[in-house]
Amino acid sequence: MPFHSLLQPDKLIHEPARLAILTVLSSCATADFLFLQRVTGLTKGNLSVQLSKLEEANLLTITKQFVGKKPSTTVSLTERGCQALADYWRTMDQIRKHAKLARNGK
Amino acid sequence: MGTNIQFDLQRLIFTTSNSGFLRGLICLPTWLFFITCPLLGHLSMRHSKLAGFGLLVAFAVAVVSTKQLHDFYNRHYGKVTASEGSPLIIIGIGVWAIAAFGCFVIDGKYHPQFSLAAFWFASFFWGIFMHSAGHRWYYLVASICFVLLVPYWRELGETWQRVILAVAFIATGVMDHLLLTRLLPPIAKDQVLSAIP
Repeated sequence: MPFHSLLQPDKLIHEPARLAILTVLSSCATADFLFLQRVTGLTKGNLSVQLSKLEEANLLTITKQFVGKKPSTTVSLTERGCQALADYWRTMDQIRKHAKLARNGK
Repeated sequence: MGTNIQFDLQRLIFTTSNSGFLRGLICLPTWLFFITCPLLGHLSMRHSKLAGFGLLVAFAVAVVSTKQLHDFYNRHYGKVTASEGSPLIIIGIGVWAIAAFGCFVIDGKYHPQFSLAAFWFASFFWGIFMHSAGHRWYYLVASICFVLLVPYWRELGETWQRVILAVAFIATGVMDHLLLTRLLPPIAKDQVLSAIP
């Protein structure tokens, strides 16, 4: 397998914190900031930064609103985000298959 | 990599897709009310007004505390909106509900030696255990208990049936809550900002 193929996985998704966020969002319709923070164990600052990066790439949408007097941030995966995550896992599967074949000397 | 970051993807998927079901304490007031009803029924034979008032108070307490518990979960664990269920699961739930209706009707009309209702509850708990890929093992325990109760269910009488059902649902609810607390550990206040690539 050519080396450049190993570099193909989307680096934006490959980063563990962002992969965790996208994985969580792929298992639900929407999740709020607190749930994402608790489930991933990320700090508020880190989670904010990672969400902003993913929003900039149009992989997710962030909705900020007030529920009563309290601010509420809800996050959901976009169509593009779903596709990008599926593509990422397809690429990872291909890499795994090639690595297995290489190990077996085929 | 920050030590607090949990990247077990299976855990993430399980927690997210089951977070609504793991809010086990929410069902507690309803089941306590379910137990209270027959007790107040016995009381009503002597003091009907007092029993009626008690039932009203118990109902109000159940509604208010369910709402409070719902808010507690939103405040401490966050909110998740579930994805649309697949049509196959919806059909499966429908068939299960029809089966429940059938079991209760047959039990009530023909009084078979082995209770179909108890068997249905056993299958209900077993279904939840299977759906959770073994994570909610206590549903298997509940299922086994109900299988053992199948021959004796009718002899127990309505009050004991209600109590056993309520205890089973309360126990599994508490276990669900404990599982949720393990899956979503509290956030440490002194968390260090992890490296951001």
